[in-house]
Amino acid sequence: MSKADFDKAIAEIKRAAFSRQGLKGLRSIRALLIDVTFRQELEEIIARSHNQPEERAAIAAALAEIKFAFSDQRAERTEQHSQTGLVAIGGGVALSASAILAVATQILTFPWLSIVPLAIGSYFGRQGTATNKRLALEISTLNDIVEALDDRIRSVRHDD
Amino acid sequence: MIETVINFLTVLPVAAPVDTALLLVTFAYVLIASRTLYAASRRDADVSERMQHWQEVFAASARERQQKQRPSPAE
Repeated sequence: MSKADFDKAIAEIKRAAFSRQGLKGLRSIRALLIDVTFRQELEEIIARSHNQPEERAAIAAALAEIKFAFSDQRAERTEQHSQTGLVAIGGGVALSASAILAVATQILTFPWLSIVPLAIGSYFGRQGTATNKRLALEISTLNDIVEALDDRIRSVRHDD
Repeated sequence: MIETVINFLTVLPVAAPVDTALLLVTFAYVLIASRTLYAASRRDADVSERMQHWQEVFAASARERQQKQRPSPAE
């Protein structure tokens, strides 16, 4: 594989790192980064550029840039995970509970109206749970990606 | 139909303040929760096919390298 092809692959990973990927996309990036053939190719490129420290530094910098982009994504999703837990799940439960409480205490003039907050609270609570589960899996995959990139960056710098 | 709905909405806050408050809270919750869920679910174009392509390219390159390193029977 030529250096130009390897650079193309790195550029594509970089583009993916700066876009919002779903679980499938993140898992495919992780699979590529932990693949033994990717590591071998990287080692081959480093070996070929043994007398060109600036080229090795450029590879390390590109990998670091990708790593920081994925770290940012992880931070963003961690924040969304807590937001979803608080707003969608917590709010949904609170809304449903308040509707049940309002009916139980006979405070409503039209008790049938309580169906609206009860249904909406349950729906968003369920949606929030599903979203939170997916976000947790994405955060875990992003952790693996950042860890794999750390390893690759270390291996590039180790040869300096 | 629209007139009936408007009449209902005009009378409701006076006749049933608690019901109105509950509905307003529900409406506000829908806005906030749907915004939160939308932000958490927003995704760009999937790259899994491209990543798989590169994985195959790297695998082919590794195979080629192995074949080159393997000594030929004549040697």
